[in-house]
Amino acid sequence: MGICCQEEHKLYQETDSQFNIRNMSLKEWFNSEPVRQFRLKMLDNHRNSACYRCYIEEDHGGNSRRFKSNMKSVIFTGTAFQTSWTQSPGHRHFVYSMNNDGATETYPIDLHIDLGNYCNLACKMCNAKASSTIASQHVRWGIKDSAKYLGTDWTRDLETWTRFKQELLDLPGLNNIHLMGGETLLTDRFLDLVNTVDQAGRHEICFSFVTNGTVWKPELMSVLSKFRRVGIEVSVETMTDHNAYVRQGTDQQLLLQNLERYQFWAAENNQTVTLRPAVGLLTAGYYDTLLNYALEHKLVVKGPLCYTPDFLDMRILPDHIKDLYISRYQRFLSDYNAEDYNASDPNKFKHIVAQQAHVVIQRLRSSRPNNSELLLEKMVHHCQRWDKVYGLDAKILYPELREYFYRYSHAI
Amino acid sequence: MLKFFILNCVNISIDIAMLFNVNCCVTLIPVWHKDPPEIMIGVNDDLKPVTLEFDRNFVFDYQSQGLQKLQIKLLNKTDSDTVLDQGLDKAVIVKQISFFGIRDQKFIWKSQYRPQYSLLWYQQQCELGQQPQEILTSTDRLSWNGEWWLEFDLPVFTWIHRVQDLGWIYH
Repeated sequence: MGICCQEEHKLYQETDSQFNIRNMSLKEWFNSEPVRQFRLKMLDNHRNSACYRCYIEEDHGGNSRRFKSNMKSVIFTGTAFQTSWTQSPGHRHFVYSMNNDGATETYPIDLHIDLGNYCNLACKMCNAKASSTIASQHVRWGIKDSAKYLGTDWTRDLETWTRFKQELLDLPGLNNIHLMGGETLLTDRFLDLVNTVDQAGRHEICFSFVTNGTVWKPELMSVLSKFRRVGIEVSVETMTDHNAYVRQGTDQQLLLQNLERYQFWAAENNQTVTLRPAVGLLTAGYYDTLLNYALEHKLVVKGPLCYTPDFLDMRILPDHIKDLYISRYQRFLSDYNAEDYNASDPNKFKHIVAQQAHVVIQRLRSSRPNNSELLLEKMVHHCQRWDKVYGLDAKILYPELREYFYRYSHAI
Repeated sequence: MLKFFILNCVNISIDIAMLFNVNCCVTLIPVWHKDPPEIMIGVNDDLKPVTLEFDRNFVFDYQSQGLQKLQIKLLNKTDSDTVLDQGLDKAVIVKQISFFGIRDQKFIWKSQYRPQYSLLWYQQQCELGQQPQEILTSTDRLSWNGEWWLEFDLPVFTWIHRVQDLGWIYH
């Protein structure tokens, strides 16, 4: 179990089975030693290593999940932290935790559930733990360690799954369930979970889930339409073929068709669709096409920066390519004035989209790490290895990087 | 006796716990040509008289609980202050309101205003079939004598969260 969908690392040794969902209940986990210590660190005035992803986003002017979660406790982190913290509805709980070794009398109200790693895609920034397709390919390549991620999906353990669903229903103030995979829409456990919550009459619970956009499941959407709020978050990088290059296995035409289906369903049911890229080196040059799509369709974009693996971090790009990419964002930003937005629109999608462009510009302006050439070589190696599997060619899709693909290809 | 003492202590501690700090800043711009607007400004009926000759910020720092009322009253406008053909007038414009440095025009949109219309103008409007409303909402300009007010509740951050539509709150 973990503490946040953005956590940089587990709070315990991953080999420690004590904190596995098979061996510990949700309520026990919430007051376990690692979570109590984490809570104390959060209440302290120091950066927590597990929160690295949020800090890196904040350092580039982004609105991190940490900021957003603080806002759910009515803490205005950027503008009036100290006073809003003392006036937060959760303040007495924070004080209780500080005075009781990190313990809490509250229960989880916002759950992130990974429904296993079963996935039909092999995204370039992903790993065997989160994608069964990658795990299978790794095994074919002789990476034996990845075999442990095949067929070990915790949701297939019927006893654990049944107990987990009951624990979930027993949480009194549960407000939100966020689901990730693997590909959430491929596993039947998603529908099973939603049916369980539906049958319990807990329609006040909100659902959100991430999908890679390759699947449309009408029977699931039909049940989901009974709930107070449903957020569909679509993992997509660009509106060009570069998306299928990064998110290997994607049928781009089908993705676009499904994006329309999600939006139509969301409009009919008063729900939301969000675009969820992971903006890294192979996305940065063409991400403006997705931002334009978001503007056209009035969609919010939540695009955390991709910095793992480190050879997909856009900071390693040579300066002249960074300049080329930055000019695309500058052109994009000059095409509309982000201040000129409809202030009655609660989504403020124009502001959010503009902020995404500024975050990428800032990242591209970051100085190159000393080992950038070595990392570029690794990137080329990584791409060429996968290109053989999917019959793709980076040199055609990224002409600006062709020189580097030629320079380092002989290193394989 | 001890029981009463303890009960009183509990009551006092609850009262103290429910007091919230408020920091509110209002920026006003006067419009005038003969004599400046005379106004009363304050919070929760604790109003102070001010002659508003220039743009001015008014800061209210206090502790309280429950529903709050920021008030501005324009007192000295007469029919002769409005000279239509020369574009002259007397008014007070509420340019900006911030709480703890958080600024948003939506705060002004939550305001209400009960004008004391000029009798002549009121009658003219009625004859035109356009009876003026008793209370105006979402206005940033006091163009008649009367009271403008903004109600907000404490803690103010929760009120801001609601006004700005910032999503759901962990309760």
